[in-house]
Amino acid sequence: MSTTISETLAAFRQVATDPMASVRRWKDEHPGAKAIGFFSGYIPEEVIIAAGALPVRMILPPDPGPIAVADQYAQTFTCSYVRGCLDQAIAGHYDALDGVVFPKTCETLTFMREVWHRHVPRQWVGFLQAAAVTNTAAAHKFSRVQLDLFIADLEAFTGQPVSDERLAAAILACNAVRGLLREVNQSRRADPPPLGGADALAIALAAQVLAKDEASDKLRALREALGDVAPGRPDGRARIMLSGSNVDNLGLLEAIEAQNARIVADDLSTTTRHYWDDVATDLAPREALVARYLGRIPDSSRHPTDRRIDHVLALARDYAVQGAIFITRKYCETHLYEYPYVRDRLAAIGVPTLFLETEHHFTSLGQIMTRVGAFVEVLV
Amino acid sequence: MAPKRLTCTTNLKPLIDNYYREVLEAPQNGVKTVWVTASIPLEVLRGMRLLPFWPESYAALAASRKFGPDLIDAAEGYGYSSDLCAYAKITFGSLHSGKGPLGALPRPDIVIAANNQCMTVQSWWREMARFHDVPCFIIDNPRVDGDPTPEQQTYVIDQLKEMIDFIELSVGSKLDEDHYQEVIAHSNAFQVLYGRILDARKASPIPYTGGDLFTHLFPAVTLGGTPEAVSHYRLMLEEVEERIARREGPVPEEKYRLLWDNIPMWYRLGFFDYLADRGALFATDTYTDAWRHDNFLIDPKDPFPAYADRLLTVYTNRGVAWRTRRIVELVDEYKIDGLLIHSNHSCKYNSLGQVDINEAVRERIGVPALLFDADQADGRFFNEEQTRSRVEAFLEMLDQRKIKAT
Repeated sequence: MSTTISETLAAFRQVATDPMASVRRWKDEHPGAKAIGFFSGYIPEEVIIAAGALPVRMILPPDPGPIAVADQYAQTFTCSYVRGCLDQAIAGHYDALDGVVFPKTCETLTFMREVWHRHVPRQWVGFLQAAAVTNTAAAHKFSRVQLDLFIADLEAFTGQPVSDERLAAAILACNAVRGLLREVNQSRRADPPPLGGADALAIALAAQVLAKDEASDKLRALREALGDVAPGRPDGRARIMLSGSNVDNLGLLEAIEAQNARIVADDLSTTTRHYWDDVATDLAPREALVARYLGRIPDSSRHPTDRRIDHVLALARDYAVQGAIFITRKYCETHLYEYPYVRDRLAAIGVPTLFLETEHHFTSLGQIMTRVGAFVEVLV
Repeated sequence: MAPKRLTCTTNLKPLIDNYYREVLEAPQNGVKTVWVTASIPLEVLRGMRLLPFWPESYAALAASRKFGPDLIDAAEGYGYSSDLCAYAKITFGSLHSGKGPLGALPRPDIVIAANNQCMTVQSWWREMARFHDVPCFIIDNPRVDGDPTPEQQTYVIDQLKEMIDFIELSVGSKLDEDHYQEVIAHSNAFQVLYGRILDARKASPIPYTGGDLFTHLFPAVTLGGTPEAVSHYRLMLEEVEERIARREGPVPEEKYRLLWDNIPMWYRLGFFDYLADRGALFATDTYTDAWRHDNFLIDPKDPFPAYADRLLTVYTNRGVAWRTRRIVELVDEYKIDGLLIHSNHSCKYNSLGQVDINEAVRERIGVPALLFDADQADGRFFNEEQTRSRVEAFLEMLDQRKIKAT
């Protein structure tokens, strides 16, 4: 691997595993500017940027440990990711963030808005409740109203009016990053791919923490360096895709790949579903954001989700996937409901699926590795 | 000793049997069936001559008749997580196994859900639509923090009109205006009666148990808009008012007036009899209120605002702050001694925020609460022995409070 590639990947990994250090550095470089956390790709980063703030994906630390206090405020049958984030926030881990924004995308996130406000009082809490249904005129109209309300709320918090010009600039910056992520991701079609699954995840996560110009610079450098990589020889490791919710732990993917596998594709809310679709630049900015919100590859929390299924099948075919691992946080019910259907559709094109469910901290990594190992043995 | 049941309870079995016979015979009778969630305005559906069927109500029936464990096993065997809503698991189990209290369920023509009660139904209905290969319509409901805003009302009304278009397009049914008006009249009439039945619990002694009310919920859920719902609740109200006049409750002595929060454990309605046997009766609850709309009856000339209000203002579509205020109001209105809070593994929308609500209620008005873990339809999550011990300690504590207060 070239020095540029290894250095760039190391930089991305550093950001993905310690995003708050990156946020603190950005805030030192931009005194007075705010950093705002977001839990879901359904919060448009463009709006946060146009409001003069840094959008930061809420990522759990690599080894968060068991829940210390959050279980007192949210039952243990709620999403382990969100509960884990609450726990970390109460402990001060996200103190570099001035606020967080909740989407109305699932039950836990919808409720956690008020719980967060009560138990993490130093942070501003925003809420964007655009439509869950994505294919009706009523949903479009309502989503635009909600976007306007959210923007007004954010403007009041940051003190920066969100003009169409600022939004248009933010859209271009985010589209640039998304386009580069897609190009870099394409390299994984190769056999063997020049990027590991954990690397690909690190890149996607870091691009949701870094300022977009810095993310673009690093991605361009990586793209150029990858273009110089000579094709390798297939080594017989199983080509696996991931499908599921918001995976953010590099160690988990490394553990999977250690079982004679390569993660060559992923349908996750933190990766391809986040960057697959651009915001149109031939519409007024707010309209364009609504159009993307409703038209992008959906998470399982939206209706309908047919485009997501098409995306899963296309990835499986285009990346020559031999097996799929359906991976979700415990209690992520929107994805758990869809799992049997995704499994059956993949099976119909000859791709078997392994189901993995993880807590926010991975106490059962050994078990996961055993199951993945057994799964991979059947594939190769 | 078993509590004294309302005699009108015997009226329920023929209603239930007739309704489910209609469902099973719908295909051969050429009746179009729509699988719906609890808040879809069934006045519209009946007005379009559709037969509504409620998978949730079916799942509660299955749980109460002890079909739950086998159907849940079937669902989990197919790949559905044990952490999903037990109602959904029971339904999936029934679909995939062809078994259940009614045997194999006939295929619906369309499915419609509203996500005001929870967002789970969106996913659940989508998967049922895929299983049956039928069209699916979802009514999306924004979270209401205070009162519904004009934009929120407009959004829901717009979608209700889209729903009518969807039904027309999917199954060819149209609104039969004359019949629709009759349905609306019956619906309003039943609502007035139902509201009075719920209010009757302000009396002391409370005239019926919590278990009685949950059992008598069936007509409110499935028969609204029919003359049968009106006659049943008229019968029930007469009997309830007679008991109030005689100062008669279901048990010899009412010792504790409690508030119940969340859906009941349908496989164990006897738990309410156990409580009643200790003189603990429920004066109010946060669940049966979901079908109470006597504060906003349907205007036959412009029904949509009432439908939208019912969708938006249901308890589960409200946040923690609103629920806290509502519980404080109920405690005062119904003279509540304590809260019994069911932390329901199946239902996040009913259960999340309960800890904060309890703390806030205790801070404001000092009423104690007992929070216990269980599930609405999956008995594996309910440790009754342990819960009973905690309930006994809770009731003793209520005794101590009463002694101190005197």
